[in-house]
Amino acid sequence: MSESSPWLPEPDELSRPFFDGARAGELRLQNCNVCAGWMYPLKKRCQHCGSPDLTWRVVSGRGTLYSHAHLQRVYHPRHEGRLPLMLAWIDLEEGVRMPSNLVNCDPANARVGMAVRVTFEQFPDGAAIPVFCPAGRQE
Amino acid sequence: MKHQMNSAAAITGLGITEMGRVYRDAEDLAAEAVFLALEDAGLEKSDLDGLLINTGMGDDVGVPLHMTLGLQELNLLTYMQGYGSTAGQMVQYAAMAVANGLANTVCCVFADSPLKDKQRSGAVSYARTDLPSAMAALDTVYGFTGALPKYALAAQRHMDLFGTTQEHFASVAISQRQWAAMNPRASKREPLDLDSYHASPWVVEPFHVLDCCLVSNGGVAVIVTSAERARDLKQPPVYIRGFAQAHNHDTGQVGRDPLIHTAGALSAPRALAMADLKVDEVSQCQIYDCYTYTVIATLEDYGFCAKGEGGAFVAEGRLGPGGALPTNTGGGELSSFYMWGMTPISEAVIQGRGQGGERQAPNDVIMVSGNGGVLAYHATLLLSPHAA
Repeated sequence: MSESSPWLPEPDELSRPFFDGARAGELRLQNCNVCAGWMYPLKKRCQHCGSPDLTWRVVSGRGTLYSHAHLQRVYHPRHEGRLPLMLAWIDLEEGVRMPSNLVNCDPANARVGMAVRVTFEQFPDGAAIPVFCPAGRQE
Repeated sequence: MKHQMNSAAAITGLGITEMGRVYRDAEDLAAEAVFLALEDAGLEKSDLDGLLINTGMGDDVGVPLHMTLGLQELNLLTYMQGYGSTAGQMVQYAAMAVANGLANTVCCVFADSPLKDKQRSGAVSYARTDLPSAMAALDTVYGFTGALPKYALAAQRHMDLFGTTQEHFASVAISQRQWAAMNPRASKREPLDLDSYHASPWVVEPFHVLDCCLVSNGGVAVIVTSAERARDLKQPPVYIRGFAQAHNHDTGQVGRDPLIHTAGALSAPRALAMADLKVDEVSQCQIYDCYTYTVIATLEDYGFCAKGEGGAFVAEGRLGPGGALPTNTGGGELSSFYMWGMTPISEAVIQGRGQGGERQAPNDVIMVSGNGGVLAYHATLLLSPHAA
């Protein structure tokens, strides 16, 4: 395991599957083995039925833009030189709404409801986080 | 049949300390606010038998305030936290307590001192800066730091869905600044026009600095007692006609839309039903205005206009002096001071007594909101100088 990123503390046991997934290019979320409900962020117990029987599974990474905004002030070293950073709330196909960033998108083209898909941003130390781009966009 | 809580209790005392860059500890501000409220009501400390306490994100004010105040033999005492909805909640629990014989005279107090000496207010953040875990840190890495970005996202969704514009947000800020100019307590009294609004720096677009509430040090206390007793006290009673709460958090589930259809939409009809009032009988509003968007969303959810029409509704000075729906007549949290839910309640008491001076607006029915979290926790009050 590499040293802890200066941008992100070392994941704990509970969150490690999420961050290991991002390194592997997979968006993984918790899924309930009893009611099949999805949830984000981390839960110790199913948000829907209360069961503690949760498993990390890979999701589609496809969704739509619930909303967007432009961060215009630096709150974290990652934001330096990247303003305005596009904040995005993503409605995933699996029914979970998650905060993230919208990348590779002209801010003037961002619209509520637009189709997006997951991509991953690598940090210098190898850590990675999921971000989203317009669905039609080729890398 | 009249609801048993309709006009059963009244607000009888109001204490407001100095506000703004007051570098004093929050507990002392809370204590001063309580004594000011007692003096205002013509009551003695020994008359108080209930104390409900709330502070901001710090922990300087708590249950031990009763010892600082030297209060003995209380019948009701607790610290409460429902964020911006707490003040409204405290008044509701106090009203229920006095109406049901649990206590006779309850003081509800909020105080906070987030501003430190020689620090710019912009440097004050209600966001977490410690990053205890990778998952918690991820929000900060994305730029979702504190409540502000989420309110900006809510506002942008409203803009995309309904065509709400930056000028609509400006209308809220400008109307409230016009009211603030008539309020000696207001921190920001200099005139504000559309050009100055647009020139205000972005924080999280679509929010300029001028879309965001102030940061203030200070304390506010109100005293709640039975309607019958309030009639014998020094100040004109402000009757509590109706109230309700609703807490409708965005649980991260697709298909729910509580940032557009806020908890206020659930709270308002119940409060109006208790008061046996219709929304078109409301004379003025005191709306929790952490951001300009909050006012627009709340007025829609309270039923003053249809969902999505709030932008056009607040345009052309409807909320300002001389407008059809006087709102945030002290300048609100945007221009007067930010005491969480006590900002709208304190102005409602001043207006309900007819003590607004040159900013006095029609006051038969005053609708008051408290909003906390990100449009998640909500309290509604209907106040009036007249009992039902």
